[in-house]
Amino acid sequence: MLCGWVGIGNVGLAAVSTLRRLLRAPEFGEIEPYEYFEPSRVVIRNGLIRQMRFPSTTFYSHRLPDRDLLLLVGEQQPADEGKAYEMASQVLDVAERLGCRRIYTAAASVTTIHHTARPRVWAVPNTPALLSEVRRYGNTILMSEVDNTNSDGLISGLNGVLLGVAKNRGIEAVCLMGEVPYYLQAAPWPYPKASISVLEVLGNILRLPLDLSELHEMAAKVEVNIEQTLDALATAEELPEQVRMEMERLRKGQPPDIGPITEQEKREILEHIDELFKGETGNES
Amino acid sequence: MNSSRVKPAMNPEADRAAAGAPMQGGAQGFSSLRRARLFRFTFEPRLKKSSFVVGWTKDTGAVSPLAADHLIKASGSNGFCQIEPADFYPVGGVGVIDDVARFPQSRFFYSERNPVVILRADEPQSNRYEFLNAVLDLAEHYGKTDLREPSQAEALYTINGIAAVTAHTTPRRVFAVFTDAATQRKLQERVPANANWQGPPHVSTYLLWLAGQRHLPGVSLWVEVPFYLSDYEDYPSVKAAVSLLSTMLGWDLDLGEMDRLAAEQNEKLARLEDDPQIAEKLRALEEGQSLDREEQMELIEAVGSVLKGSP
Repeated sequence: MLCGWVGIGNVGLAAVSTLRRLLRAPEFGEIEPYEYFEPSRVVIRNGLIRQMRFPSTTFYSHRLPDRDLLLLVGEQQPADEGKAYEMASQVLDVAERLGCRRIYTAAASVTTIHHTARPRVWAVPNTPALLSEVRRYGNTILMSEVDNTNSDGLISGLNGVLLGVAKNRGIEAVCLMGEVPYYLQAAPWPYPKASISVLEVLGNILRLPLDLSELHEMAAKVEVNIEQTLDALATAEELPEQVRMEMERLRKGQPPDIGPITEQEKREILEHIDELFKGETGNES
Repeated sequence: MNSSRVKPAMNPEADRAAAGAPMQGGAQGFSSLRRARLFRFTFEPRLKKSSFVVGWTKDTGAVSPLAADHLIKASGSNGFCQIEPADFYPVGGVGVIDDVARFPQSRFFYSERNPVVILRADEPQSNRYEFLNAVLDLAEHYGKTDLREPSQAEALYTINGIAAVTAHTTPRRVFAVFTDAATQRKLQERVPANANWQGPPHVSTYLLWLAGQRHLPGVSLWVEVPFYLSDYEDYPSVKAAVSLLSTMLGWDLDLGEMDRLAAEQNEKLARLEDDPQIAEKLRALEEGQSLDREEQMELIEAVGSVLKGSP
């Protein structure tokens, strides 16, 4: 089963949705939204409620020559931790009932990568027995191999909870997280480059040739948009010089040099960048 | 309207409750409710074929709470039940407003002689689906024409104000949203204007939709409130809501108090005419013209100064 929810850069959602479209996988069920989400939109016409729209969590299926594939696309994650656990349990109830043996969740990892670079995919399995396997996926990296970090971390939201609940039920699961530049984590647009990296890994695992040209086109457009936005910010002198220099180092593939600034200053710079991007449209992604 | 107090039906549980002991559920009563654990009854009225009215604490022009309060008072309704707050509101402390501690409330009132159940509640902050379904459980329970029948409430009514680009000098229009076409046909002639809207649903609309899913007939009434009165108690709007609702319920309410409060408000607002520029804006609104943001702000400010002292 492959699961993708809305999240940073919509990396997971775009990856699984694209795969569903490419495979033309038909829908076979959904999780009732009422206990998890508020209605997002109502349509009232001539005094009658014509439609009450809720965020959907939809299952799709596809038969490959050597295995069956389940896909789950979630338009929203429950805000409440308890509800997230309940939803993860419901997803796994379906997975178990249908004899699913492996779960993959697709998500984003926020890191010091430049937007012109090819994102790697952080892979986190829910059992040590899978470590050697995930090393072979290609363009993947374990938490312990990420620059400036150790092997510990946190996967927030359903992508993480699902791994945990699956572990408790003895179901193997792997979270695949495409890298997203830290300065774009609050940007109001998707980050298809990371979705492409995740799909390349999934295609490799499933031995599926995937035509990702549509995502590549979108990624090119987004990259142009990012460049234009950053140029505009630099011209308006709203991009701190230190941040601009750091981005240049990242562009050249050099490790970020946050120099003598403190963690507090770094946080403030990141928050400032977030604010700049939020100001672009007035919306969060 | 008969003003004699309602005499509760005789039963041991009710007597126990009347003596101050909380009820734990009767053999044929609320313990059969699907979400019985969410309710705290102090008395179990015996009602049949009740209508159900919902008034929320916060609302544009305070239409919803004031209309509900007026109906509770005028119908001689008594409180009999609450929804336990812990699942639906922050209960880690109390808010203090006007020097008084406030705690989330969702209280049901009933009147046997009419008969009606009125909910006066703060909007739930979480688990709204569960909360609203609990409300509908009660609406169904007291809407039965016979306790053995699985029939439904006479009708569910919600009341709300809605900010509109209109002047206070024009009559308040009321728009309606219905659960279904049959209910619309039945009640249409009393509420001529149907609402149209696309966007995030109000809690009343969510409740109405859930009622429709349960085949409970219902209608949401939306009373226009001049936008510059949204943060005040707009009595003409409240009166419009109460008047229409009492007609729909078949009540003959004395609206004298409402008339007095509306007249007092209009008297204060008449002072706006002293300022020619503000008067010009009001004329524009009366003629159906819109105001730009700056003009709207000027009007809001002027209204604030003449209604000083109003909440």
